[in-house]
Amino acid sequence: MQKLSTLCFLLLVLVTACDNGSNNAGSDFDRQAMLTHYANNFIQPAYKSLAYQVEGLEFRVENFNASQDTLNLVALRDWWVATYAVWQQANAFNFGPAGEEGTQKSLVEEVGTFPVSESKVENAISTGQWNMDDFNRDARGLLAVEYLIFGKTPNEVLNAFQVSPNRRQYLLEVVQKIKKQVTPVNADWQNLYDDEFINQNGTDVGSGTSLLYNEFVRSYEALKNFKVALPLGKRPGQTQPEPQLVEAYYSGQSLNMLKLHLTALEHFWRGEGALGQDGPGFRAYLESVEGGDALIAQTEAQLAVVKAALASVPATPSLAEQMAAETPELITLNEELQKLTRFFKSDMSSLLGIAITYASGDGD
Amino acid sequence: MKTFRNAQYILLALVLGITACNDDDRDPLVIPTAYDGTNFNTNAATQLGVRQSLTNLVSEMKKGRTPGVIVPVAILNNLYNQSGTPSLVSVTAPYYAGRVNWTDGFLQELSNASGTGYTPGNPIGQGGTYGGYLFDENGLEMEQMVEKGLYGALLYHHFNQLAEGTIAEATVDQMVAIFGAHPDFANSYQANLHANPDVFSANYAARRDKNDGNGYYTRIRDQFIKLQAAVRTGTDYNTERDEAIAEIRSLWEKSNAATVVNYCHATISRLSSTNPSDADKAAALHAYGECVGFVHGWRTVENKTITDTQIEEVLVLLNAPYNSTSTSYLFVTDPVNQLPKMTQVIGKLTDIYGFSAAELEDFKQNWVTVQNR
Repeated sequence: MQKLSTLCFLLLVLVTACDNGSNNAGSDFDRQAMLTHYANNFIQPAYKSLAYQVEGLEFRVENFNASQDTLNLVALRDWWVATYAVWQQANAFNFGPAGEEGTQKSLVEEVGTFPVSESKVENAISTGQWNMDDFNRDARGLLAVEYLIFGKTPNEVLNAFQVSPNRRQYLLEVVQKIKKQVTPVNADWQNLYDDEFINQNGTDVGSGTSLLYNEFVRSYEALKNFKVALPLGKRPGQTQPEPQLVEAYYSGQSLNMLKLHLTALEHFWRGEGALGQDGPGFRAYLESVEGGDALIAQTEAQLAVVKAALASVPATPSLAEQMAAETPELITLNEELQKLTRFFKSDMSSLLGIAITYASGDGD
Repeated sequence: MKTFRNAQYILLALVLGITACNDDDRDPLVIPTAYDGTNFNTNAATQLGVRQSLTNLVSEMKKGRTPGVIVPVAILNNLYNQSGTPSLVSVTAPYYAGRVNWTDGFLQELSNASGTGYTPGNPIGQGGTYGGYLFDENGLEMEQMVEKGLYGALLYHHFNQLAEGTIAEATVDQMVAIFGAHPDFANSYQANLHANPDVFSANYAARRDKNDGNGYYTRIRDQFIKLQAAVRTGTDYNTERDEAIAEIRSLWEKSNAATVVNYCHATISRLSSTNPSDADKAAALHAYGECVGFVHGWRTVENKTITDTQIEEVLVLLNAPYNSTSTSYLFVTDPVNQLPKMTQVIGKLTDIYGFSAAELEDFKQNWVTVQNR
């Protein structure tokens, strides 16, 4: 009996020793539960809402194209704002069905590219020649819709559409293209990809956790770099602000969308679902590793500073105008966002043992 | 009773005879966990010399990347044809040696292009520098045609030459060296992390290796260890020796194809971006040039899975047919219509080598960088 116990013990030791998990970070943490929570309470609802909004956007464009009046324009504009707000919840999941494949870029690049190239849009409309499958993503997507319906005063917009069938057709095709790109992503997440994502519960490259984490960091860096630093003129090589580069430039929604994006990322990190369903997220994952509590404290402290800095940015004048003026509030916001980066990126990557993979070209 | 005893003896003799004739009546080959590199530098001195000669040639060619710097063809010819014992040309497969050396061969074209500037478009002049790289007038990077082409046409070809001769312990060291590895098998090209980093083909096999025990580099290393053990143990283990050589060939070729897939992805990704800068376009043409070199160098080389006809088909898709002028610049000037050809290249290589979807995804990464190893 004693021999049997010893044998069992040795076997247990052997099995334990042979467990070749990619690292020991959070070995007791249930990553599958985390992935399930993220899939069910973040990603699937976000894409479902986005698909619904885009469907509605197409409906309102069709109404507007049928009758270019103030009522329809207001309805279209309002719906666009609501759609773009939903997009802030969905723009950080650019993997799997929303990932890059061949010449198709990730969903955020396909439907969320900004700034819009006004010249490309106007040239396409004036010549009547465009190709929604080419690589001019800055002439289509949600921000091209914004340019078309917010780019001028309401009366000017109405007039431009009334006199130009090409403009009406272009707007419709841009929205149809968005729908064509969002619909399958939503369908895959609701029916096919969710299980694959949840079951890839390691931390190696290509696992659900790695994909999620990498896109989370990338989304944060996009917020910091392209929505704040670039229009503020603080990126390498810039010598002055370029306020026209803000997101949602034409609708005046830049600050609102920036806040929504940051809030979405914070909730995501905390594991707080948009509909209030809390569950295990990256914060909980960090709690399970040595040094995690300290990093959580540092991250939350800096998040508070960033949110305070963002809250201090006045609603008026427009964010673009404030960028042009290089206001102290924006300078501070940019600096504090920069300080937050290391907590989300290098420190978190190191503690959780997840490699940053989104800039790993072969080089030469 | 006596008859019965005689029958027993006969039966025993038969059993012994059958047992003695059984090929499997050998101790299993004992394969150590590490490669013994005690005599590597001595044994592989010639191959290490070839590696140095190739390094010297590449270094000279790279001078042409600097705007305004002319690279004299005489220097390139000397480095390829005369320097070292043996010279690079003497260990290159004859077909590719001709392509490198023709009067309008890769070295001459590289020299012609150097010293001026280049903009991708319909061919004008002799080519030149663009975004930190040197291209011929058709947008093809001659440096890659020489260097990456010679990975197949010289390194792999020389491995074949070694395998076809008498294989002694020293030969195995030579094979390791010509692969670009060292007995340390660093699985990395990072000189700041390893005393003996991988170079040439080994460098690229390492990039495609996730370091999970199943990657090309790791498996090639294991086969080299097996090969060394088989050769050391004696001719009884020629089967294991030959198995190891065949496996090294297969894995080497697959890792080369995996790198072509990687560079196809890199080219597609850059050129399908929304507003690629000149730097993006140049980097894409560079990645594309690597694709062409990595593929073309295997044409006519023996002991490979891909056929010459398949290589020619891939080169046509890459706008760089082996027997006519390339139109590489089209990938830059007409990416919407041209880039799908690169996707076809990936598909064709997938069919030839049986790559899985997961492998194709992995090939996008440079694992040495991702894992900082």
